[in-house]
Amino acid sequence: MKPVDYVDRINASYQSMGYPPYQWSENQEAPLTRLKKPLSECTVSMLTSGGISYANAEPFEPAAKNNFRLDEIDPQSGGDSFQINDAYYDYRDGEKDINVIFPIERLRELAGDGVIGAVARRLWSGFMGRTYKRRQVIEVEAPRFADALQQDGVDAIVMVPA
Amino acid sequence: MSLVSRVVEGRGIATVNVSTGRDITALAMPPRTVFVNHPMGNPFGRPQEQALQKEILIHALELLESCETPGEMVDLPYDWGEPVKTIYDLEFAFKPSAPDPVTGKQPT
Repeated sequence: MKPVDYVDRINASYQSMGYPPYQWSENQEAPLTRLKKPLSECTVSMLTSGGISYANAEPFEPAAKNNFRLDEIDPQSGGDSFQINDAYYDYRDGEKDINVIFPIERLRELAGDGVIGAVARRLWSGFMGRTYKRRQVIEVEAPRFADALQQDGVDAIVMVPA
Repeated sequence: MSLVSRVVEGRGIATVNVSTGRDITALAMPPRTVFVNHPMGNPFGRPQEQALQKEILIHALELLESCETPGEMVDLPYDWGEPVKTIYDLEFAFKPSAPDPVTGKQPT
């Protein structure tokens, strides 16, 4: 089946509301850092932007804009300890099983199986909602996040946008 | 998310994106991507499909090792088995975000 044309759909949606064309992030090249050791020796973290927080914590604001809240997730957390609040995708399956969007239990199993070296000390949930301030992401928030990953000795990270 | 990946990668930490929005990701060009043709809320499959969830996660992790081309996107061979719906198809969905009322800038 053909992938969804999100760009066309969102452009059409904006046009129907009378707004100017959406400014997509466009890049012609990308940085690349090769793994410095085998995957089986790497410490791996994971980031979701799907509005996932602990069930007993403050929910994310579903229609958040420029919300730079970033939650730390204990990698040993149970799969049933979360809530999801996000206006921009259908998360009903994620409420039944968090692993369809944030496979925390699968990541632990892969560490147990020796596929990866270890799960990082902290996993992450943030950069959700709509972000207008891209420069703040690139110059402030993402570098701060990279600092935290470096503090934890993270070699690689799985990024799961939503 | 792609912007965050690019910054983190530039700081020496290898990143891999698990994308369900092929065209959006292709434009933003994070360092490495596996594309899964699933709904946005189901990149790793359906509830209780542990084997598939793990398989897709392994594909993503393997690309960390195998990727030689910056910006590479690998299309994983999974089919959702029914039409992939978006928030625009769902009655309960919020309206898509409008430009920022103060700056007039568009959301990313």
